[in-house]
Amino acid sequence: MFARVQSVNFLGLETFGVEVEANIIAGLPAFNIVGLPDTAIKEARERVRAAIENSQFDFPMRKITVNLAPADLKKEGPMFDLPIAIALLKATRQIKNPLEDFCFAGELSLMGKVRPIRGSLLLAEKAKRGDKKFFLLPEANAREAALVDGINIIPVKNLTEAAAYLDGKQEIAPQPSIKIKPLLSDYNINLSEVKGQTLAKRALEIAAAGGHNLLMVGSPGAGKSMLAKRLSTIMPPLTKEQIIDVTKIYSVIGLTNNGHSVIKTRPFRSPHHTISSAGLVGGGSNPKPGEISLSHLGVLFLDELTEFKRDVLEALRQPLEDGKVSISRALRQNTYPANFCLIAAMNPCRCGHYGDKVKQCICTPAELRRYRQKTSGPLLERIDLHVTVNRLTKDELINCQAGEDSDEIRKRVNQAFCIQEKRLRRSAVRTNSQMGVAHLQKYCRLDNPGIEFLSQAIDKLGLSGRSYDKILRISRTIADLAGHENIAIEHLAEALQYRQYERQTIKL
Amino acid sequence: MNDKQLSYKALLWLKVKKFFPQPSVNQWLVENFNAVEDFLNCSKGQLIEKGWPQELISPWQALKCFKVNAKEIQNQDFKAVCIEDEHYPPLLKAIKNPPALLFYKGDFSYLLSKTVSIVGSRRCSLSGIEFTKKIARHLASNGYTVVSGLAYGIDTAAHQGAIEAGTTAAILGCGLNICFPTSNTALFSAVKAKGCLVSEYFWGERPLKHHFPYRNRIISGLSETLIVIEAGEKSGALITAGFALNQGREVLAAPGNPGEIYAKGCNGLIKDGAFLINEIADLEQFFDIKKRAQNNSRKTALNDPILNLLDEEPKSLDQLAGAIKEEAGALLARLTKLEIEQVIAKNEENKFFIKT
Repeated sequence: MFARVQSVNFLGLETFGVEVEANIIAGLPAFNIVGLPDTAIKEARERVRAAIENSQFDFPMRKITVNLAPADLKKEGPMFDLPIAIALLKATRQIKNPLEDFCFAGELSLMGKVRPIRGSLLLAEKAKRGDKKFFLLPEANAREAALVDGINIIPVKNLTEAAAYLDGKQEIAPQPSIKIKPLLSDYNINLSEVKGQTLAKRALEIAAAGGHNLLMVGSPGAGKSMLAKRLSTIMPPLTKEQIIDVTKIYSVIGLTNNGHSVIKTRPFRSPHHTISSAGLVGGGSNPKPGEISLSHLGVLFLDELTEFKRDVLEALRQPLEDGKVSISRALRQNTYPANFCLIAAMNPCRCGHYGDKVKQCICTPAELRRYRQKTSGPLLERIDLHVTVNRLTKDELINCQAGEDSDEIRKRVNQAFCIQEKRLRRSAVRTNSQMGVAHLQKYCRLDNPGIEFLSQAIDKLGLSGRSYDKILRISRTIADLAGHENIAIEHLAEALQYRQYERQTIKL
Repeated sequence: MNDKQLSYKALLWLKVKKFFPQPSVNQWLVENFNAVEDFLNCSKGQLIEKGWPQELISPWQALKCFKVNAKEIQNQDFKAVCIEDEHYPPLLKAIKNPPALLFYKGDFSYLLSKTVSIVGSRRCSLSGIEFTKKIARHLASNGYTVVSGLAYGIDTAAHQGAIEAGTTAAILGCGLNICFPTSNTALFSAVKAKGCLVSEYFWGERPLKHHFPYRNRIISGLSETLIVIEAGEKSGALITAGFALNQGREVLAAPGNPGEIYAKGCNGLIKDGAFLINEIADLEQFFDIKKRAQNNSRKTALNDPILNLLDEEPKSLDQLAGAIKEEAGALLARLTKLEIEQVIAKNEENKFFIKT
């Protein structure tokens, strides 16, 4: 007796179809699964047997062989429990209807309940591409999978229900597909809550508009984290494609199962500084996405930048450049998107009070130099905007008026976003921060007074020649925010304010 | 001032110094002769009478035939001033052992007007640096030339503060072509542009350890007042203070927390009667500085609301943004422009202030 049902599996963000074949022949009772299964799949034998028997079906006391084809690809995860059980029921004629239009994925409990799995969004997409009409999967994953149009998502609670549905004895309504309305005001925080900090707020606006990375230097309690958390509130809402992209990544590591099945707002990730490089960029023998991929299209906030291990920060360099990360292992290579906005925060010195109005700094210049050296180098090279965030005194905190509302700022950011999209539609990059040398020459051309102004500024303000390109990129974004076609001197002049840290370091 | 690189007399002094580089000879000469020509032209008997050692008689005779290679000097970009020149600083001339010949780069005339010397420890605290910058800036903006030694720490801060607002002079312990410490190269050229670099050492002479305490007498000797900020128990700054006291100069010191290593020397000076500087007001009292009276007219002439606001005291960006109803971006752009025009600058607390 033989039966075949269709299932799907994924490695990284890549999916592939798997045919689950069950063959039952005469012989001593046995149950074998072949086709490069991992431990979780091998253990499926016990779960499937218990689930079938506890769901009042008969488990055949003969020699059972289950094959997962293609046989040369490693498969993992417990999502084959349901397809194996269905294949056995079909082979033993306990399910009679043909199953060609169906695809299955789900984990089984010993009582026959269907438990949630990881990656259901990816799997549903693959099932749709495999021309299946129905996709049976755990009820808890249905909402997420319903993001995919063009396939009926059938949520099932347990094995009995699934078998009844397949034989036409019970109706299950397909999960209604989700209409994504980009949520604008889903944030319970607002940039207007931050008092003072004019420079940092403006820098956030520029970072949001042009996708620039930002470094904030300031004493403890100056409001660096508070500012960083509010960056996503002024970024443009995600489009449907972007929502699907982000949700896929969260789905792969199972972060979509608890409550919020679809990631509609821009992610904000703030890993602790003890994180390993595998945790940050992704890793493992079957490489999983790391924090940088989880903050794809959102914000990655590294607080206490100097406390991060050096190799961890070095690992950030390539993804920052490419907007994705490729993790190679002996067996396979996985590529995850990692197009995020990096916000880094650090203290100005070891004791944290250099330049503070409230408390006196107790560091020596040598200590300060050593502290600054910790952050120097290629990573800072990739951070366009540098600002100092000063702690407000008591009086300033009381007297300061509330700033601009996030919604207001987002309107300007949106406008700048559209301008960039239009300008860069023919190229591979999307934002000003990613522009290469060719783009700079094309879109950031300065007039003669502008060139003269900039070279004068670099001399007088002690900037390195290397910051020239960065200033151009920032100015481009500032001009876009103002809706100007060309970069004017005002835009350059403002951009120069965001290179303070470099100026300070040179002075020391 | 003389446009020529070296006056005739300076050339003679150069010749003598090349032949007798020992500091003791320099001291003996300035004590016993008013003019270098007298030394070269006097008789052997007169010389011995004045106490010239017998064994140096033959070198002295050889000196008369010795010729300095003038070309070698002409190719360099320094100038020199000798003790007999009229633009030799009178204050320096009055000390016990003035250098007979000084090499300099930049504008020497600053050292002939109002000067203040500021010295301090190389190992200092950041707050010490901030305070030094503040007072150096204040003094420079009131027309004082700040004299210091281009060392790490307080010296560097004194020069930096002064450059932001006025003029400064650095007295080196090596030849004028060598920047020591090397990390101060940028400051070295800035001082040259905004004041002058001075050294009694020959072109190419290495920064040897014993040069520095010896040149300290010039730092204290060049001005009537010496300000000491953060000096350890045994520091070069205290040596300078010692010179200043012997030279009859006024010593001012900034106090520190007792028990801190940076503070011991300064607190000791105050105990011995040095004038205590705790804040800018003390400085104004001592130097009798009228509060920026002469500058006000210039700034109001510029008629810029930002400058009017900054005129009272340094202000942060938030304070400016609160006072001037303008978009943050436009305000920042205007501030940068003022910074580039060198009208304003930013201090350690990230506040903007007006440069003079």
